[in-house]
Amino acid sequence: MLPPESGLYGERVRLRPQELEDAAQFAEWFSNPDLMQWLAVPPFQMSLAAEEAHVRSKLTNDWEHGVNFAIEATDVGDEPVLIGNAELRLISPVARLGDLGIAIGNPEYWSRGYGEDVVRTICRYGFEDLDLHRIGLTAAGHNARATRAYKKVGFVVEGSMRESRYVSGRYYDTTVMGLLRSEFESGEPQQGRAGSGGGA
Amino acid sequence: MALSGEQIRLRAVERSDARRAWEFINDRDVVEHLAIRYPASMTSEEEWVERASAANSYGESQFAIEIAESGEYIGNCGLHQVSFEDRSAEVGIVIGAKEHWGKGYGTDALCTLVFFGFRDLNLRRIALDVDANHPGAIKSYERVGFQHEGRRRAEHWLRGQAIDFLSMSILRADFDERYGAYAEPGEGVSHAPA
Repeated sequence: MLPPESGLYGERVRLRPQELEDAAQFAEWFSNPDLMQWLAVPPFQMSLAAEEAHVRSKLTNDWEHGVNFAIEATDVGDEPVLIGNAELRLISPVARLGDLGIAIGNPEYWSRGYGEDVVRTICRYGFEDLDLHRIGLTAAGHNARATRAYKKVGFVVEGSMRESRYVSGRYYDTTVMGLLRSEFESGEPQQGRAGSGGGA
Repeated sequence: MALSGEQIRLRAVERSDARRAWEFINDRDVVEHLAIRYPASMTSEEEWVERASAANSYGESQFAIEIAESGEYIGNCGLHQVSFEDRSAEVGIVIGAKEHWGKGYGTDALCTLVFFGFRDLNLRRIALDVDANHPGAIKSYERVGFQHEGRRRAEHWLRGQAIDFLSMSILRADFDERYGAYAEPGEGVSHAPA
């Protein structure tokens, strides 16, 4: 367990490096069809070995490999609770582009504002620590819960890739969204800034 | 293709440069200010050329300097130790063909390299170190727009004595102020100063 003073804090979440020990929890989540429908990956049943191999590829965090986080909720008890993971892929050092992916793996924590908190925290990290100019993401076109959260952080819908994902027997659109650093900085409430980066 | 300055071009390092590069690197007049001390075998120089010829990415980019008019290969320059996070780079540059010193080729090449770094790679800072007892080089760097930022006392032992080196750098803001607005897409083929 990473000491509480370490990691990247949002309002109600902590982002910490992924560890091999997370694989069992991830394997359970990423075998769940209710989650996988939003990620447009078929609900393959993930063995511990397969998930460990996957996590192993996420243990190096740098520009080349991207930045991988485990997401913990910090407001549900004495100990932080693992609720998901996220990745900020770094696309172009010249154009300063990042590409964000996030999954709240435990459905009990859906629709409770954690995703928005995570996205805001990672965007701040990307803009302030990695000097990014733009962060982009894609979401399932029918995932209104996700796109609503992204919009709250300031993401703008830039387009739709029609029938670009296939889930459980039919095609869905993919929504393309983006956030520029100038928008993030100007649109962010003063309080959110002051309240983060400290303890919990 | 190459990056064009006023009198020089920056092109890729090629294997066929190895023999001339080997002559440059073993010329003590050429390397005396570079803290290069050891004799370099043809094999070791070929290895360097092999590595430099593959250095064409954000993290490191190496160029051969040639005179535009004649195509003569006269030296090398490059950006290395580029930090992806900080957008900063270090410069290395040498004009190995002594008979072409004092003609402004080094300044021209460095200027072209700095244009490449800021305009094409979107860097924020480009830095170099220079022998404090090498006034010609210092003047050249100042002419391009590098500013002094410190003295590294007795950093190297060269020519039988301890030699100070100077740290110099140019920032994107210095560059923009000096060289003005960027060319429109389609116009930006020349890397020579406006």
